[in-house]
Amino acid sequence: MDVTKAVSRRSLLAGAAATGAVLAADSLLPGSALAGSVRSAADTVTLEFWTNHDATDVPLFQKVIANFQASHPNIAIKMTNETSANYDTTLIPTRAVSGTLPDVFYNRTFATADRANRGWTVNLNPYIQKERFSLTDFWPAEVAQETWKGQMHSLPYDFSDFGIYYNKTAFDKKGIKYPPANGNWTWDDLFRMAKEFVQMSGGKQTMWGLDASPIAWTWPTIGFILAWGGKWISKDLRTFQVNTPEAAELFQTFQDQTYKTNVILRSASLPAGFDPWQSGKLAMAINGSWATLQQRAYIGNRFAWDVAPLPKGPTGRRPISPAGGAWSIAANSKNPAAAWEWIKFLTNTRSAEILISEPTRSVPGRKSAVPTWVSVARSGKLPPAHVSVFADTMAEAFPVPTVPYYNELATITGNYVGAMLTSRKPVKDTLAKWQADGQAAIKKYQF
Amino acid sequence: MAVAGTTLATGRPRRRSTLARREAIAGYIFLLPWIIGFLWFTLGPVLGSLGLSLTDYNAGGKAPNFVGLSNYQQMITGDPLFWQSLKVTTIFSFVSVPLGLLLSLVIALTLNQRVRFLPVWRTIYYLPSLVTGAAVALLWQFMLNEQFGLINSVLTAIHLPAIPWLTDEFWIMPSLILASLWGSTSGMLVFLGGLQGIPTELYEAAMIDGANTVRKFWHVTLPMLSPTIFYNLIFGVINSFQVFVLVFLLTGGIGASVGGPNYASYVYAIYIYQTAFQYGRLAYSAGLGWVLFAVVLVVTLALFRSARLWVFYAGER
Repeated sequence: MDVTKAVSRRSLLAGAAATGAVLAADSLLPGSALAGSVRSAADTVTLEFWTNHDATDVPLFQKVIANFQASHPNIAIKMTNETSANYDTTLIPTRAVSGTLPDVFYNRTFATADRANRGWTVNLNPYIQKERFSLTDFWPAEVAQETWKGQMHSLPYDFSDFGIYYNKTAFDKKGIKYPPANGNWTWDDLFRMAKEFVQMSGGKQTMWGLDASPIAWTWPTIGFILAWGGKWISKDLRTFQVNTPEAAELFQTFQDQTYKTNVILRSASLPAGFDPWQSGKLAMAINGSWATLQQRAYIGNRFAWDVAPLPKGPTGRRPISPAGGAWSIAANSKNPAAAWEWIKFLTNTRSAEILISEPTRSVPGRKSAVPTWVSVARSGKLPPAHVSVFADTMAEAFPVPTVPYYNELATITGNYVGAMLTSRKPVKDTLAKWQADGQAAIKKYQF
Repeated sequence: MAVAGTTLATGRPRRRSTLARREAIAGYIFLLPWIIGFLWFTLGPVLGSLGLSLTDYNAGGKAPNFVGLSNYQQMITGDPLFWQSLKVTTIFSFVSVPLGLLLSLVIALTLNQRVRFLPVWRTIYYLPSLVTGAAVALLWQFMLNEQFGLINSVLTAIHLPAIPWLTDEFWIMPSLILASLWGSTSGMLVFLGGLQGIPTELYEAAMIDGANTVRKFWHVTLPMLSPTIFYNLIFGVINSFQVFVLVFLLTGGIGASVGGPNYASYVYAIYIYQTAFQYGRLAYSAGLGWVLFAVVLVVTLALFRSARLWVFYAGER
C-alpha cells in the first residue's frame, strides 16, 4: 500500500474534523454530563447518588428511592452502587479532588472530619437550623462523630458496636454458666470464664477462650482505652494522650492473656478466610452488630450461640466506641437543597426500617427504628436471642469525635497495638513510641 | 532521483526528495496516536507530579502553594517513616534479588538437561509465575501462619520450634523474601533461553582442554550467560524497589495495619500509597515518588557501571 497516497494532509484533516463532530454530537446525547445539565434545567432536578453496599441492598435502596420520588416528583435520584473495595481509599478522594463527587454519597463517620476539613462536604447546619430539624432521635455518639468544628457534615445511616459472641454448645459441654445477658460482669470475670476453655493437644493449642482482634482496629481501641480510664486525644484535638498508666494496664492485661494464659487467640496472624469462631475453636469472640446475619449463615446448625454485652472496664463503663455509615452532600453539588431533601428522607424512620431494621443490618442510626430491628431479629427464633444488647449498650457509647488525621493515626495504632498483642513488644516502650508517632502525625495536619 | 541525505560537491546537504519527505510525514502520522498518548498520559502527568512535589497540595479545597524543596527537606530531616520504609525496601531488594537470580538460574540449569518429560517439568516450574499477586499473598498467608501453617507444621514435625513468620519483627522480612521467590521462576525462562543460546562448540572446546563440569560452568556458562544475568538483575532490582501487592496483602491482617508489625515490613511503595490515598498528602507523596525514581536510577547506573567488569557480550573485543 502506498501510504503517502492513502493518508494525505487533506484526508487527515477531514477525518479529524469528522471525529470531532461525532464527539461533540455525542456530548449532547442522553447519558453525557452536558446533556444531563441541559435537560435538568427547568422541571426536574437529578441527583447523583452513590452507595457502597452489597448487591442485596440495591432493591432496598430502590424501594426508598421510589417512596421519595412519589412525594418529591421534581427530584430524580440516579443511584450507583459502587461495590469497589477502594471506595473510601481511592474512589471518593479521586472524585473529590477532581470536583466530581456525586451529589449525595455514602460516607463513614470516622472519615467525616477529614473530608469536612478538606472542604469536600456541605455544612448541614444552615438546613438543620432553618427547619429546626431534630437530631434527638439519632445516637448522640454518632452525631458527635459527624460533627466537625460544630458543624454537621452528614446524617447518620447506621451505627455499629460490639458484643461478646459466645458458643453455647461449648459452654454446655463444660457446664459453665453463660455470660450474663444483663451485662453485669467485668473483664476479670470473662478471662476467668475463658480460661476454662483453653485446650492443648500434642503441644498445639486446639481451643481458645476469646478472640479479641477488634481491639486493634482503632475505632474500637478508643473505647477500650477510655473504659480502662485512659485518654485518647485532647479536647482541642491537637495532643495525642494515649501513653497513660491505665492504657499500659489494658494492653498488659491483654498481652498476658494472649501469651501467659493462652486465653486469647493471636488472631491477627490468621490467614484470610479462616474463622476459628465459626470452626468452633473459640468459646467467645468480640464481634460487631453487623455480623449477626453473616454468623447465622456461616454457622448454621453446627453449634448454638448467642451474644452478651461487653464486660465493664475498671471505670465501670463498657468499652463501647461505635462507628457507622452516614450520608453527605458533596461540596461540588449544584443542587444542595434538593440533596438535603433526599438525605432527610433517606435517614427518616421508615427508610431506616426498610434499609436496616427489616434486613437486620447493623444498628439503625435512628433510635425509633430500633424496635423494628429487634423484633425482626428475634422473629423466626434464630440466634442471637439477645440481639437487642447491641442497641441497649449503644446508649453507653463514648462520644468520641473523629479527627482529620484519623487514617494516619489508624495506621500508627494498628502497627503498635499489633506490636504489643501479636509480637509481644514491651507495653511501656511501645506506648511511648505510639504516642510520639501519633503526635508527629497530628502536627502534619492543618485544621 | 536524488538520494536523500547526500552532500553536494559544494558541501551543502541535498534536500530530501518529495517521496522521502512524504514517507517521513506518513510515519509521524502513524506514530501520532502513541506520541499523543505518551505526552498526555505519561510525560505530562510525570512532569505534573514533579511540579506538584514542590507545592503543599493536600487534596483539600485550597489551591496549592509553591513551597520549593521543603517536602524533600522534611523527608530527609523530619520523617522517620521515610528512612524506615527506604531501609526496609533496600534490605528486601538486596536480599531477594540475588536469591531470586540464584534460584531461577539453578532451576534453569536443571531444566537444560536432557531428562524425560522435559516439557512437563518446564511447565511445572513455570506455573508459579503465572499466579497473580493477590493469590500468591493469600497462599503464603496460609503457609506462613504460626498456628495452622504448612511450614510450621513441618518444623514442629521435625521437633523444631514454630516460627512467628508474620507476627515477629525479625521474621516478617524473611517471610516476604520467601514469598517473593515464588515468582522468580519467570526469570528462569529467560535464563533457559540464554543457556540454550550458548554455542556448544565452546563446551566441546572446554572438554577437549580437559575442563570438568564445574570449570565448564565457571569459564563457559557463566560468562556467556552474564548478559542474561545482567538483564534479570536490572529488572529484578527495579521491580523489587516497587514491591507493593505482596506486602500489602500479606501483612494486611497484622494488627489491622499493613507494613507491620511495628513497621518492620513497611516498604516504600506502601508509604507512597498511604500518603497519597489514605492521608491525602498528594504533594508529599509525589515527592516520595521522585525520590524513589532517583534511588532506582542511582542503583541502576551503578549496576551499569559495574557491568563493564563482569558482563561479556559475544563479539566484544
